Amino acid sequence: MAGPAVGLHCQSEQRTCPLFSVLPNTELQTLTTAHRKPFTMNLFLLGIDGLPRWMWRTFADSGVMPNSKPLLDSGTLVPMKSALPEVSSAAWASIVTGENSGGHNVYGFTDLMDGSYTLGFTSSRTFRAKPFWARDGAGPSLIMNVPQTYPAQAMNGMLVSGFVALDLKRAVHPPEQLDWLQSIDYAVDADMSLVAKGKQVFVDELRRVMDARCTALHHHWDREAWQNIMFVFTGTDRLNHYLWEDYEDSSSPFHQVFLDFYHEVDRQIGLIVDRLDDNVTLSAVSDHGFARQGCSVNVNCLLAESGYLSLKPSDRPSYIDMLPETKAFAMDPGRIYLHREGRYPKGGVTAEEAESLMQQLTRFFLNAEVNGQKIASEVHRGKDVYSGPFAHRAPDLVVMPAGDVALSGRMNLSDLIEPTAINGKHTYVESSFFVRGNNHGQIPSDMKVENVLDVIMPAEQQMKKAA
Amino acid sequence: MMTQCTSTADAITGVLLAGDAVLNLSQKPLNTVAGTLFVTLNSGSLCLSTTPTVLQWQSAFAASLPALLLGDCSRLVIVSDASCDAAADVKQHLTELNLPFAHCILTEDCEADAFMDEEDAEAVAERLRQLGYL
Repeated sequence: MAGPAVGLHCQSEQRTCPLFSVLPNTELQTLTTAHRKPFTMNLFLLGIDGLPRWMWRTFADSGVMPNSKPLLDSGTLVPMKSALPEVSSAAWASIVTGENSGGHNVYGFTDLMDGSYTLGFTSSRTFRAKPFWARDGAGPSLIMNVPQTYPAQAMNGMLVSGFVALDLKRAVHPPEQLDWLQSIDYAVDADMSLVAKGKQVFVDELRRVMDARCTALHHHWDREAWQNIMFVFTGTDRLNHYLWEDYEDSSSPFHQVFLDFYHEVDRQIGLIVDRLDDNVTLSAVSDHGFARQGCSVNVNCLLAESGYLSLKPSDRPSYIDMLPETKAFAMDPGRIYLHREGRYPKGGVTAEEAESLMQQLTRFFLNAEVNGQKIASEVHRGKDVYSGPFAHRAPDLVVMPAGDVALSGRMNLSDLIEPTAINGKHTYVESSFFVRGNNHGQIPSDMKVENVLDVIMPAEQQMKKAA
Repeated sequence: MMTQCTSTADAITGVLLAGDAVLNLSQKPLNTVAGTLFVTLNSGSLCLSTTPTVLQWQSAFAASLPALLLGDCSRLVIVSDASCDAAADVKQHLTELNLPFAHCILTEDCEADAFMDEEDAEAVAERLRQLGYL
């Protein structure tokens, strides 16, 4: 049975359901302004989506980001490891909850509903761990443009959702702030289709959206006494995806456009930092690093060519089209799931077969080449890298891409190498973690996204772990 | 000892962990995977079965609750509608017996959820395609 939309299909005997529908606890109550006490700010957490640690340091030292130079010199900047796989939804969820995917239940932007082939999109409702601003005792927080927070959930303070937010009306808590945001043409996302009209048009759109977000940040910052503020620049990720080749090619007419965008991001960083005193813990993080993308390899196509995946003919291939003989399939970007008996309606891989199949697939991915280039650098076992109450939903394997290869989990078997305008890809290593202040904890030698809260709010994390 | 959460009948497996047994008081079929343990009735006593079961709770069953947690089951998950007197009674017994349990309140199915309709789902899909995820 065809699903409700392109690429969305569900098990024929089940009802169509295009989303993850488990709802979190809703014990958080909106506090009215009248109930609030005066608070002093403890934390400013700045997100710069996709900014590699090495690039930030380079741009700070070279003058592209002049405000970042004294900032970085005033604290500690270290490389951080992203989520596994290095996808923004899982990484931001780890940053704000202090859990890996096994703890917060976000493994990617898409997932299959348990026991079915229904493709769903993860959202704020997928979270099974509380973000720091929703914990008991959290003071009033201003949370803006954090990915994976749509639709906006009730909380103590104000939240404007980030990617993948669709409708501003459902992206704002409390709703009475909607009118003001609309009055400044606040956009929940840049129009990425504009890249087809040219890179300058696209970058202009990123600037327009960023300007409105920054205007909104300072307006709402002034409005109340917040204990925590988190604000994320996401245009940096979009820029890196589409203009990375221009960054690397100094003769490109868009090379300077790339640098200018980061210069503007830095100007905004300067405006933020100027407002913070020494008593505030200031942290700045990115969710993953970035690197050149030479090609995008469709992992499901690779699995099909090697006999691990079989689909029945379909105009719009999707997971519902998998035949019982399918042994394994992929979801974005390198999550590999065995087609297990009991986990999927037509799954036939038994528990006894699973171990040998995982060994076989690990060898397969590590040896696989496309156009003479290896596609995988490492293959992790899900049970080794995820922990927590939702680790049973983890992929069986996580394939890490090699070199300039990007991995795609599209269920479209027509192109092993996918045509794409994207020329920059996420990396697991070299995301940025910066912190300064007097009250932060020790930075682990192997810093990961799920350690961010341990460092920037150590007392709260200790209380949480003790509880 | 007690966890409370919400789910839809379709998405119930998202809250179930290994070692859970479902005590379904909701009168609705749940979309569980094969092998999920259910609390069922046998000769007036509660027992575990992999056959999906809807239970009509009676306080007299409480005496057999501890035996459910002696084997493969390490936690009971009560599934009920929001206002369910039977669920409150089961919870009271489990609390008194100091037995681990969770209470999952069923919400409306996603078709009734205004969060994401078909048009929204396609819009999300398009955004994800633009970044190479779909």
